[in-house]
Amino acid sequence: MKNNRFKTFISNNTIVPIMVIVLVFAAFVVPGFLNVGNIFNVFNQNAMKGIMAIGMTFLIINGYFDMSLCTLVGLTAALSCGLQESLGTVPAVLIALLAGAAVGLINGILVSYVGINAFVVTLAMMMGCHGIAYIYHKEQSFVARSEAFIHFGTGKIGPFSYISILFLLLLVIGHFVLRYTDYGRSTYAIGGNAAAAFNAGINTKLVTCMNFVVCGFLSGLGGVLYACYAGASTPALGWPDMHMLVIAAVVLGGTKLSGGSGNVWYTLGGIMLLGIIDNIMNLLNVQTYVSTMVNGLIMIGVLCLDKVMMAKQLKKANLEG
Amino acid sequence: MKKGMKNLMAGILAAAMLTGAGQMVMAEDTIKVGMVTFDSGADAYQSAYYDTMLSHAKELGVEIQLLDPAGDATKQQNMVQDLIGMACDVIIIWPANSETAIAEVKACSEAGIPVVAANTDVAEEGQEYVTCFVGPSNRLEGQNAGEAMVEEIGTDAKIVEISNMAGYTASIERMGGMHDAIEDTDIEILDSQPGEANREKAQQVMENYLVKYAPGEIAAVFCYDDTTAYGALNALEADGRDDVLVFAAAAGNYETINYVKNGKIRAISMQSPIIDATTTLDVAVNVAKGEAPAEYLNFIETPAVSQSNIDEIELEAW
Repeated sequence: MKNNRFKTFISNNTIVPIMVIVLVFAAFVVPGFLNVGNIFNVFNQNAMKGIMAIGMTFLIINGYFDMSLCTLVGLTAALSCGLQESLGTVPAVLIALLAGAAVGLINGILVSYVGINAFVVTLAMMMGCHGIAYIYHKEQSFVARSEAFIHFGTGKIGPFSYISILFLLLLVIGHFVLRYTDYGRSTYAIGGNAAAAFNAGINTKLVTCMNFVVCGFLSGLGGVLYACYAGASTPALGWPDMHMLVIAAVVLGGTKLSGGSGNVWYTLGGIMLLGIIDNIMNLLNVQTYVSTMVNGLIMIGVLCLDKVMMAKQLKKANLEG
Repeated sequence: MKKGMKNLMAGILAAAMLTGAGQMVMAEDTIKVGMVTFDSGADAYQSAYYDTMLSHAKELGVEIQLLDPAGDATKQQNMVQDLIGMACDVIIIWPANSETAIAEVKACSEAGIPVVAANTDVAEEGQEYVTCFVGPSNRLEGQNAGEAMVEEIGTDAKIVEISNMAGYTASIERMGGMHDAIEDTDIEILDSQPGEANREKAQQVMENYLVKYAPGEIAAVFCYDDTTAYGALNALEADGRDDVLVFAAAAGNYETINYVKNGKIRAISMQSPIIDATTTLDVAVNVAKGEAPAEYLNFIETPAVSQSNIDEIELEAW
């Protein structure tokens, strides 16, 4: 019985055995990997990306994804740094977060109410935000003036940075919303089968639109946090592949790109796995392009493994039924 | 299965102890240098710089951890955190962005690791955390090439410029140096358009100049790097014009030497990635030994060359 439960757990969470393999490999082969400081270092480094990935998880469970993330982070980082001097830190951050949510709202309206393909809408938005960020920056970088703003980006409580504590908090909130609220359950339902969800009386358009807003808001927050972390903003922040890394982490974790299944803990696993691989490559002094290639290979491997395990499970279920 | 799990845990634990022990054995006296580059695959200059760093570290007998963020400032910041975690004796940073590098150098300084800024300096607010800067002086490059131009075309002439990207620090500084060189002369800059450090774009700009200015109207075109100068030369050759002389602030391509030898580029400051990398590593190793240079700014040699002196200047090929 226990044995069975363990097996089911593993096949539902392919990220766990893979993480174990990578960790064991790293512990043996990579000098300096297995010390507490380094593990927390990886977690803290990837907290910003993790926060954005939570929003992306909501949207992917809903059956869509958002490419505008990669330039939206540059835009909100720019606003949060650039407006500090004229408006003060708090209003600057609020405006940046609002801008993130607004971009998400536009995406949501165009996709769910106007009915344009999400790929095209968010791609167009990506270009739009890129342009605005560059125009606003005038190709220069902005340095954050507020001490509190910078302190939030680099400060720590124990081994956890403030940003990673925020990440943990958002993970718990994300889990709660997805699991225990009507809104969360509707998200799963729409991703699983939008027509059935509509027939069941779910306002599919509104929920989808809201998930775009959630994704936009958290992307915007990610941008602001990157600006805190770096103490400055550059127009190139996030460009050209931040959205891809975030989507990769979500999918690597085990959330299905086709929608309807997944959770934020998978995403935590995906983010950590990508982060750990990067860290290992750096510790081993491997050239950047090799490490990028390894990331790709691991992703294909994980997804194949996932498919094989799912097929096994389905076959078994069919036999038992 | 339970037993399997237990074995696994034991394995992980054993591995942890092994690596721990391994680290203790490894703690020798060799100096450990950490470096983050800017974008090592982007151009010939940066890849030669990368290779030289590795080979020169071997010559000096120091351990080097060389990481390449491929131009991404956030990735660079994470890499600096990793280098801090590896307990390097000194960290060399070639800022992907002068402003975001402030946080990087601050983090190193908080960890008690000295920092050397390489090739591009950290923004002013961060310089208090940096031990020293090693790299080319963009201003001197512009000034020396500008002075060589004045020598050739005289103090009373009309010229045009092909500038680089707006907001690009190196190009702004080179321009400042060149303008200093012609300040006390009667040389007049009739036009200045951006060539975006791109051969094709520079060629277009030059073609437009040639339409606008008839033969004899301009004596020279001043470019801010060699790639731009290639573009300008292409336009001149296509038009069959030899009345306009080409000068440029700085060269990062070794190929440029041939253009200087046959007189196509009249004068230019040669910036060698080999000199850049070796000087930087030498200084960093000294910093790790506690022998920091007296000055904050340590400029590498960037000799201005022309057809007359090119054979006297010895530059290793890259």
